[in-house]
Amino acid sequence: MGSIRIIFPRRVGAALLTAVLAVVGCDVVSDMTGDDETVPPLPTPDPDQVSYSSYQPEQPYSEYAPGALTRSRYETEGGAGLHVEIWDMLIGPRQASGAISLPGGAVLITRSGQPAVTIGGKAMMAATGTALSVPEGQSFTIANESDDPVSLRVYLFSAP
Amino acid sequence: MKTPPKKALAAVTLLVILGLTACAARDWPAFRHDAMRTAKQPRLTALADPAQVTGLHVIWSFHPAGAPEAFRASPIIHKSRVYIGNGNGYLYALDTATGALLWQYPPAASPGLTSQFTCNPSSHGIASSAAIAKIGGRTAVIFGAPDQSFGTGFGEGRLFALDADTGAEIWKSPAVAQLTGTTFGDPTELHEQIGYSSPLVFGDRVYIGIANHCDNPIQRGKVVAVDLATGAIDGAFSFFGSGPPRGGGVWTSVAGFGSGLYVTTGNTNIGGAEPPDNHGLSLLRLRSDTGGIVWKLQPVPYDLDGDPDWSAGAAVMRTTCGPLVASTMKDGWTYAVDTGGEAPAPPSVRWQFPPTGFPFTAADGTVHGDTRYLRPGAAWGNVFITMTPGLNVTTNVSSGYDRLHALNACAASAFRVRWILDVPNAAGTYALGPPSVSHGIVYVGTNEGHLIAIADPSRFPPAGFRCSHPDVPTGICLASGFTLVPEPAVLANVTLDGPILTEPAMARGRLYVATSNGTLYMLEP
Repeated sequence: MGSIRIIFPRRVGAALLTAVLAVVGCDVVSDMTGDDETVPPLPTPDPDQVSYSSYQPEQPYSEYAPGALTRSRYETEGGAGLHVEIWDMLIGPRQASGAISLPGGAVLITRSGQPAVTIGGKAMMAATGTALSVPEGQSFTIANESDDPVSLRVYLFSAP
Repeated sequence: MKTPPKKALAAVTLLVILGLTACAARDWPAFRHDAMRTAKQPRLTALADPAQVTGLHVIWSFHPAGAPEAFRASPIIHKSRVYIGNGNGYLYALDTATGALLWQYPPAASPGLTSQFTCNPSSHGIASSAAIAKIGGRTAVIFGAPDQSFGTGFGEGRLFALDADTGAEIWKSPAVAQLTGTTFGDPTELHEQIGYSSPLVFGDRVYIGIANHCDNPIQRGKVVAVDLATGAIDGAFSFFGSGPPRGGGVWTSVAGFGSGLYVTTGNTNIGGAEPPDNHGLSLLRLRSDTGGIVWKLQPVPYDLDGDPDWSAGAAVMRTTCGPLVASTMKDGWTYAVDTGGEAPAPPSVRWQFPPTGFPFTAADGTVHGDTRYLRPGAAWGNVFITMTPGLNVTTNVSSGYDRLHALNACAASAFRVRWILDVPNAAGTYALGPPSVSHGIVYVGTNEGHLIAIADPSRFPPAGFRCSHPDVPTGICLASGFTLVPEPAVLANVTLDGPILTEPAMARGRLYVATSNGTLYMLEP
């Protein structure tokens, strides 16, 4: 049975030395950079199969009208029998609300997104920061044609 | 000339690659792990194994003798040593296996590195996490601290380079943060400080951010570069956060990638006219050789500056859609920008989250105040893990101090949110420390003294699903146009002795984290 003899040429030896140094030396500079790591997106869950987490919002929205969510943030008596409430209103991505009728006159201010608001048959785009007034008893609709939500602050004024 | 056998060459090449791979990043040699500030430990260890993480437990703890203060600096690890500075002004070198004290700087008999101007935790002793470097063949540990033994004697900030094995001084820089008096609010004195900024070792320089002593008053922020070999200030490099008189403090650590530096800046508006060259409230790319501005993202204009310092710092992400720099501003909005090239140009903003649009204007009704989204995020592949309120930022901004979002950096806006977790045992304004990640296992400390391990749903089944909008109940989520996103599972919840506002550092299968009660812990699964 013959023996195997391995002879490394000088270039291979130098490379081997480099390899050993790389392993043993662990140069600090190599530690100072990140590396690439591909992270795949998560699969879209099947709504019929998912289990809900136990998370509950502290200040949850609820459906006020089809496609329109609201929550009350603040209310006070404004004097002379005037009742003032501040609501948040939320229109989800690609949602169009049904008719929204508020319990009083209101001023709506867009906080984010670009809603298309229709009041009394008149449609308008309400950019962020835009304020719209809605007379008491007047219903309106809001459409959100973007992938991002629309949020509005609603200042409600009512008198008995 | 004899040609080497192909198989031998291939084997050696493979060995080189394996060697470098094995070596790279197994330590945690800098704040947020690396120059890109990813806070990612890429080496696969038990800390990235969901089955083992559940057994996370304390192996040893270290509480400095005497009168330790809070740990605001985070630990760094190189080979068998962990280094950390304390609010008492001493830097400690410990054995990673046992926690035994190897040396401290300054020695116990000498006064610590402290300032006479103390106002919040950033000005107590050593708040700057250290960094490892090679200086003339020696391994060095570099950190920033106030020092009353020189200059004005009040505790001006300087950088120290010590021999990592012995603690012997290699160099001390001149003052990089000037302190010419200690009168609160005195605009005639310089009140600069290093504070939380950790040195960036990048090429042949060390970069450090300079801010101020708790805004009394704000100072001209700056980045200072010193020579790595000598500690001498590099006069060819200059960046100020604003022109005179003041503003644009650099509260956090500079990131480096390619030929660029990435930095975030604090506010400038304390009344009066806008200072010239206002680079405050910005995410910037700077040239690493001159400090010149390559691009600047400044979403909040001077008139809306209600002190939302951009104090999280930048994380560079190497994603499948290109290199990005990501950061969350103190007002709760997160941005991702292409790192871009050398030539000055407007920033190429890839996305904003929540996507409300910017730059903000007085007419848009948004508020940009001193809210507390100030922790740096973690970058894991295409995923940016950050503390942000989320989609309710314009209506309920302070609701997210205990909330982590994982954001898909390369996805369309509708699929930006990967997961959301309201971290348990966290409450109040400073609820969370900075998150760190290893192969999808996220570690974060809380102000109630808990170390939490969280599993990305690709690594372990989620606890359930919730709405992508934090304030929309799950039951009406889909019908309202939002999406269901996973709430990741909490794999471990370990109680420690005090608030954890520092980052968990992972090295060689061990996790190190420090508390505000002045204790450093080492844990293993």
